[in-house]
Amino acid sequence: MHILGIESSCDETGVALYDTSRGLLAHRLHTQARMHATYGGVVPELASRDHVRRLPALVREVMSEGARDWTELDVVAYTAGPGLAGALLVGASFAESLALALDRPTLPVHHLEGHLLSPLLAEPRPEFPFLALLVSGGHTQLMAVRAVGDYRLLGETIDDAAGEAFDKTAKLLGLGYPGGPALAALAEQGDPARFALPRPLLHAPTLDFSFSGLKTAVALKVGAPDWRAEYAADLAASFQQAVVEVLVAKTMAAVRATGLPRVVVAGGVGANRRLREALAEAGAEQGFAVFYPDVALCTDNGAMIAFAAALRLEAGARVKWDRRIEVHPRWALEGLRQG
Amino acid sequence: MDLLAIETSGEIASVALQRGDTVWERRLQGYARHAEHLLLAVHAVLAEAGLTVERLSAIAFGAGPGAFTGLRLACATAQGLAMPWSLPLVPVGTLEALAAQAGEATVLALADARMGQCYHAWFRCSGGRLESLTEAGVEVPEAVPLPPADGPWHIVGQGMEALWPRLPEPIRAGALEVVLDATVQARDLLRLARRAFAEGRTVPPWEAAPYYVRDKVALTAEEQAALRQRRMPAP
Ligand SMILES: Nc1ncnc2c1ncn2[C@@H]1O[C@H](COP(=O)(O)OP(=O)(O)OP(=O)(O)O)[C@@H](O)[C@H]1O
Ligand SMILES: [Mg+2]
Repeated sequence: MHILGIESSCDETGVALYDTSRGLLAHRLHTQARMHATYGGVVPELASRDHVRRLPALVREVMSEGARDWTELDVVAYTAGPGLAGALLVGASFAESLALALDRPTLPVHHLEGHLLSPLLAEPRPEFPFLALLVSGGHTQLMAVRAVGDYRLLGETIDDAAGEAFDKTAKLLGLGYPGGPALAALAEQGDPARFALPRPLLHAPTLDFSFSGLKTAVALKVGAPDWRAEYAADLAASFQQAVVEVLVAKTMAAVRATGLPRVVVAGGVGANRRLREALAEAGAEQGFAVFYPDVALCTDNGAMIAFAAALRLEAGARVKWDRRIEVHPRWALEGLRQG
Repeated sequence: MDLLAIETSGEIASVALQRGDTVWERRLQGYARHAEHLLLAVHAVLAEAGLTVERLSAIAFGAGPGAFTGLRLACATAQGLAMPWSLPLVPVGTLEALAAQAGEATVLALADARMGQCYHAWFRCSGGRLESLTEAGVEVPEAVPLPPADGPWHIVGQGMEALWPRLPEPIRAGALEVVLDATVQARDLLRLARRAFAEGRTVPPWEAAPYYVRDKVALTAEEQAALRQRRMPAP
């Protein structure tokens, strides 16, 4: 079965063609990061404008690289939420229309489910059940995943997401937008013990996170009279260390609480080298294995959407034939039921 | 030829399908319902005409200016429908479609652009052909340019009742006929689109885009900083 996957929930336009018997046939991604950088953050209207300009060309490229005829497509999958309403609407209208033109059904996919299942596209492939640590620009969540569609939220951030904290801190240090990767690179050259920063909620009895206080602590250091530009690397390293420590400690607590033997990391922050090292050490100590998606599939992409659709269909999900163009800018993953 | 037209730039969305001299049409009222019901309407007119998407000659869409989300809905829908069958797309401008309602004359087309502004463009319609005299702009009504040619003119406006008194006096005084509450329906796109199609003015889906006219929608980081400076003068 051939599934086309379309992602347009934020500032990335992604398209992929997935074959349930042969795997990923082709995928394309256009990132708008540079466009938004000029504005210091994602401008929703500009994001939507870019999606509608890029999407058809990406779809065309994917179909030609995948060497499949249009009539061989079985299902058109697309991100229906959560995300920016206008951006989602571009992908949804295109996908539903394409499906109508082909007399095929669609499958709306939850963006986070896409992230969550993306490590299953990699080798080695983790088995169910597992603990998922979702760390992206908009989310920081720990979830118990028993099967496709069976997700239990164990804890999440009560304010900023981990990626958001990286980006905001990067901005404070003048690293531009989105500065997460640049901040991580700068941290490599710094001393993580130089600045004492808070570890928010580290010892709280819940599995929730909080990162906005950490960002404020960084702002205070940068705004202090004795602040010097050459401290930036040390502050970046200290900040990264604080985030990583909290993420790892809560992950270990979640493993203890659930007894799940596998941890799957998804979302852009999963690309962070220090986080990967620390999780590997924690896994070795506590006896859990850690899995990641391929680096190219860590951030938003169409492949994870096509793949999540494939897994849902395999698990018995019903396809959509009603031709309604509907998006869910706010949509809880837990509410997702198979069917 | 068999032509489908999709128009969702305003409050009343509509689709129309023309086959020979027969037109099938559906209208959807209210912004919120556009997206949900648009494809059902497309499906309905196709079924009534006994056609499938693949047998269409081309798809026209209302390219704007108009409500941004609506413009993208029409464009992305046209793109998605056209893609697998390599159908050509025909973008039709809202101001063109308004001007075409005036008959043979020099015409000023206007549309409410919110924020106290209006979209504007001058056209000349002669021998059934629409010629554009000025590039479309978005401005406060006071700044709408005077006619680029001599003689009386017609004014066709969409949602222009409230802004009308603010147009330059010479523009109002020289108008032979004035309509301020015109609307654009998918049916109105058909004639312009047929002509464009006949003249080869079509685009493939990957070159189709809405025509927003209002292009400045956010301040760059530099502009934001400059604005903060002006608001908070140094102590
Ligand atoms: N090496 C890194 N270290 C830390 N953060 C990183 C790194 N690489 C990317 N990030 C962060 O990852 C985030 C982007 O990840 P992703 O694309 O998964 O998020 P998103 O799609 O914007 O959010 P969501 O999926 O929650 O809507 C950004 O905040 C970015 O700064
Ligand atoms: Mg994402």
